[in-house]
Amino acid sequence: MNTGDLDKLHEELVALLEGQLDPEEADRLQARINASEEYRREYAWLQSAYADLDAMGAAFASRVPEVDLTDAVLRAVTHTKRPTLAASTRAQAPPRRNPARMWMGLAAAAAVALMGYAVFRGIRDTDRTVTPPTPVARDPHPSARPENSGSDADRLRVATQRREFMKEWEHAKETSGTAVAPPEMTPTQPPELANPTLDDIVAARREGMGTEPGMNRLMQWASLKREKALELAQSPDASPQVLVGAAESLTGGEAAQILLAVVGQAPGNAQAQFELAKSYSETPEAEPEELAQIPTLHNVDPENALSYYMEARLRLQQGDVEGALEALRIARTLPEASAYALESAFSKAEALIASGMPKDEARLVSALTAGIDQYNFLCDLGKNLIEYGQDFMAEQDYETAREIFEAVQTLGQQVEETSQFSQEQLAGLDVQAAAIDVLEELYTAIESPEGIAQLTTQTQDIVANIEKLGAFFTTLDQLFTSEGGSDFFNTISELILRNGDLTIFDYLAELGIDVSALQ
Amino acid sequence: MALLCQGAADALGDLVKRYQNDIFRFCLHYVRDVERAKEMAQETFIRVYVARARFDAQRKFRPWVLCIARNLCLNELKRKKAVPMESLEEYASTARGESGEVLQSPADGADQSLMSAERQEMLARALASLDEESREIVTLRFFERMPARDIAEIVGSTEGAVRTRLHRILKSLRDVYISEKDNL
Repeated sequence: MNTGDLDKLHEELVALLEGQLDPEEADRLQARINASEEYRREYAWLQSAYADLDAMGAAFASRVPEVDLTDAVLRAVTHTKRPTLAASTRAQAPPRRNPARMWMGLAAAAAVALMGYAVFRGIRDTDRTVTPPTPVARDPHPSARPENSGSDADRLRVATQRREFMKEWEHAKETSGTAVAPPEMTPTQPPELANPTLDDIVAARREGMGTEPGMNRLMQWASLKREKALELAQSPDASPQVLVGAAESLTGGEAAQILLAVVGQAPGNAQAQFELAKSYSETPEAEPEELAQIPTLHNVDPENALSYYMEARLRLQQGDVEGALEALRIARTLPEASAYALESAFSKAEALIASGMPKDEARLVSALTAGIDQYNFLCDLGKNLIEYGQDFMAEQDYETAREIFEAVQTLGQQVEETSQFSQEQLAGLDVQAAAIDVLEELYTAIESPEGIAQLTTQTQDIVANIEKLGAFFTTLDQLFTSEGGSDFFNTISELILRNGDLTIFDYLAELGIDVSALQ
Repeated sequence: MALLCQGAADALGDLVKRYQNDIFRFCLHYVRDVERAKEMAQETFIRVYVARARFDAQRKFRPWVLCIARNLCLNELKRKKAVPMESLEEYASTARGESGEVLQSPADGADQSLMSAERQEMLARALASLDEESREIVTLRFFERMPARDIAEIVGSTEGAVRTRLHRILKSLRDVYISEKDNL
């Protein structure tokens, strides 16, 4: 009997013991056991060992004390629904995830981070992507300004600390790599290769660690050509995932048309509803449709704060300040902010496969670019909201500006804490950094040393997290510089598409893949 | 879980009541400390709540939640640089009380009627000789009474592979057991 047959027999013996064989198989195996003295002994031992171990397990279970966690869990869940802005409090909470679990590679991370930060730093100099708010004549609220309770020495000290930490933040980003990110991560040109192999994709990923063309190639491969996306949308056999994936390669009205068909058949598909709202937001004339779409988003994913931030942006665009602030207040009470990066990566892979790309290649290229669209979307959303806040600040409406800036900071925290991809987490950090930047200006304007002191602590947290991010990227790069074969990279894409990239090393370890050996 | 996914307010409390002791005991196997096991179990339910929209209704809840608990515990052990899945010999003979103190197993408990003390000790020593992965399988099968299909889901394997693995483990236990018996 060869090893495979022996394993099969052993598997069946255990299945027989557990009563998991169907009657015919059980009778056949029982007859085989009865016919052989060796098998009878083997089976008797197994029965005996099972009985002993069952008894031992029962003995253990009977001695473990019972617990009642109901109140503690319900209290904790209530707490998670009310995110706090105090970074020092957040630091005491159990870590939601290991921030050292990121994948893009140190250089690429720094590059994207620099890009994001540059986006925010350039707010005052760049064109806006949305209409500025209608100027609203209102009185400033001097009464809302906190009393200046600190001495000049205190103010000087906290301001100095704050500046030092902001320098650290910029330094952490600048020194974590020298690569320059693609200025625009959206594919604009046809891929150099129409049908990349796994080797091509891995080579582009390696190249993407330090230079722009590698990442651009990956992004191009991960996106369908317009004609192909429209062709897929016409296919009667296309699944909802394929249709959503196809729509993600389109923009505005074309994407909306496909997504409307999807949500018409599956109104509970939260990702499709979200993508539909996004596609409306890309078309200025679709503002009424976007506004009408927002309540649907609230309903299909009620714990996701992102739809409320989107509503706030839309209402600010329409000059409905009270409506916007109300949406922001609700957003801040919700436990998560997800742009559906995991679902999006999966849909893209399905659409690529349906378009003819081989499965392994489609899944790998989708996995390696997952989260980048969401990074861009989340940073844009934060940036747009901050712009409106700055307008109110310019009008000396500090209270409204403060509400908006603090809400953006919460958005960053929610994204960071609930993200499944490193790119989302990076977006969370960048959004928080941008909010802190404008809050510093605001607190300085209203002379609030307490506010500035709080920002100092929060900046410390962000600097620490960006450093961990950099360490993770370094480790992740090892995966792609190693001499892994197709099985290895298929495993990588499988894990990323199933769980996101932030937990990939945990899962690799569970599979017995020694990551340290790759370094 | 279906009710929780639909937003029923008291569904989480019901889920906690139903599964809390299973999950707590499961976490205790890994972290070997009552308070830490409680924390891990509590955090597991928070993760369940946060991820409820992503729960696949086609899957069974128990393996899913235990998979979350397992990942949390393994991460916690890594973070604390502790050695996971300590000796099952200790599991077999001890547990800890509410305050964390070690509870010795009763020598003449009714639940031990199936095994003589000597036989139990020998088996416990044999269990202690297993590697971590094997101990985890034994824990899931005999201490958590999970079927092979659920174990496979938790450890990321197949049902058949788990059964084959169980057979190998039992065979190695037999070898240790026989060797000990011969030396008596």
